[in-house]
Amino acid sequence: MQVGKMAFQAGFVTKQINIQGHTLAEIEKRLGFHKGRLRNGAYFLVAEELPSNSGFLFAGYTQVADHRTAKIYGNINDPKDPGGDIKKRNVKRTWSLHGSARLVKVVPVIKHNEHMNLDKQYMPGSGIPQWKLIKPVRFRVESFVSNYPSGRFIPSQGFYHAIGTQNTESIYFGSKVSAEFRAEAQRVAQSVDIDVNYLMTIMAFETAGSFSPSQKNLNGSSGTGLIQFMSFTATHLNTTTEKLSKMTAVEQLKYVEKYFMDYKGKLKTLEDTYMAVLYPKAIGQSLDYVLFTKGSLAYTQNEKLDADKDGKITKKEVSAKINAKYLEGAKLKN
Amino acid sequence: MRKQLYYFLAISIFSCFSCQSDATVNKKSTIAKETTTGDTTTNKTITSAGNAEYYTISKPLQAEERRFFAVLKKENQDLLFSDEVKRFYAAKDSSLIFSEIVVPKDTLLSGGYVFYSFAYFGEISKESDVRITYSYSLGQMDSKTGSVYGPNVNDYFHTYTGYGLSAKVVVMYNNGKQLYTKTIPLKNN
Repeated sequence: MQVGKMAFQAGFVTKQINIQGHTLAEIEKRLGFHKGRLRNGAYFLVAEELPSNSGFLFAGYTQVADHRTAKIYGNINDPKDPGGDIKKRNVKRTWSLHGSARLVKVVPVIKHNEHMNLDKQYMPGSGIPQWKLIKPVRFRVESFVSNYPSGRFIPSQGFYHAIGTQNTESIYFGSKVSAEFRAEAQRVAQSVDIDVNYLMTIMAFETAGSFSPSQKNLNGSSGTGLIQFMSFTATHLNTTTEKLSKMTAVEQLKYVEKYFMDYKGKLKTLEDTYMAVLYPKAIGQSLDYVLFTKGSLAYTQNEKLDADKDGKITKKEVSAKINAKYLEGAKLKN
Repeated sequence: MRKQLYYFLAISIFSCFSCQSDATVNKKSTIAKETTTGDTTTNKTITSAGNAEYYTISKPLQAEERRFFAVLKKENQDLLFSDEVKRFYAAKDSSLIFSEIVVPKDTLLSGGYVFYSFAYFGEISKESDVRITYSYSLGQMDSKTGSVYGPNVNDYFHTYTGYGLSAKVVVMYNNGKQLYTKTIPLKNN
């Protein structure tokens, strides 16, 4: 199983909203897995199509495991029930292929144990709705969560809409963007292992404070959007500056994530984070590091940045404006 | 006249290729068989680039190519070459359409390059009408696009444009001699 790939699956599912944002230990309890079943991690699959009425069964809530369904609930899937199709139609109306109402299947790395007592293996969960797919449905592997017991299932969509503004921290330039953008920026920063305030500062600087995904470079180059993706860079990310400019700011953040992912673990300072955009060769170098010296073409291309006119453009000189922007960001927190 | 027509065709093919370069790299539809003869590896790979399909053969950089590129590197020191060259053919046994330098992956990102592409049309070893085109990015402070026209190291034009934060610079060489350099300040600077 590989993240991002398609997979056809049957068996038990729930809605994303019931487990999103929770730790593996909590999800174990909610779904009714025995303690430690998710200790080696779990794949989280989201449905890309919904089952037909004949493709799923009612399975009550997770406090009742599959082997006890009939005993506790009786014949809730009686094929002769004249209202069966209507009930199924009604429940399907609460499902979606987008957001937090998506159907999610949790696939633990540790498989079902044939030799373990079913009551011990599938203990009463904390009671969230579940359904049983009896015909395989197409899923996409959304994520793999490890770090048991504290690793969390953070879905790519729907979750931050649900938590709204109250759960997003106060971040630099936060007052200039939407709650959804703040939440997504926090997710991206966490994913690429950089300080969210550094990320916000760079995007504020590169877009002249607009945070617009279609922000064109004011100097007339091909730079576009949140980190002024150059046409070359867009190609590297398998897109174009035109496509990027038509995205929403939140959508474009995924490409910001993709860009910074290549430098994950290396960007511990504001200057280095900025260098990932301006001149990656300088990442990890000291502030005295000379990027270009007079006489080189690259120096001519950036001559205005040689503040002390000594014929050398240093990392410190290049970073001066971003440091000033960072201080400005502190005053514009949400 | 025939020569001009050839240039036109080469440029047209390149225009088509350049807009589909992602597809060229990413959409390998069939890999039938791999054979190695001497230093040449024939992948017999059909690579889709939009609607076009190519056979690719990996053949190391040839002596004439190495000599030509070494001269170009003196004119633009950031140019990278490796021994690995992927050569694209319209069909098995047909003439070469274009070639691509494959740079080692560690050159990118940790090596400073965000992006690097170097392709050429025609056969330098046969001193045919050759067009070389390249583009790369070392970040917003230094990105360049360049092209070279000419059959060999003694008869060519090389021109490139570098982009930085405060200016862009256009440079032109002919047969090793710098003909032209122009610095154009960018707006707002």
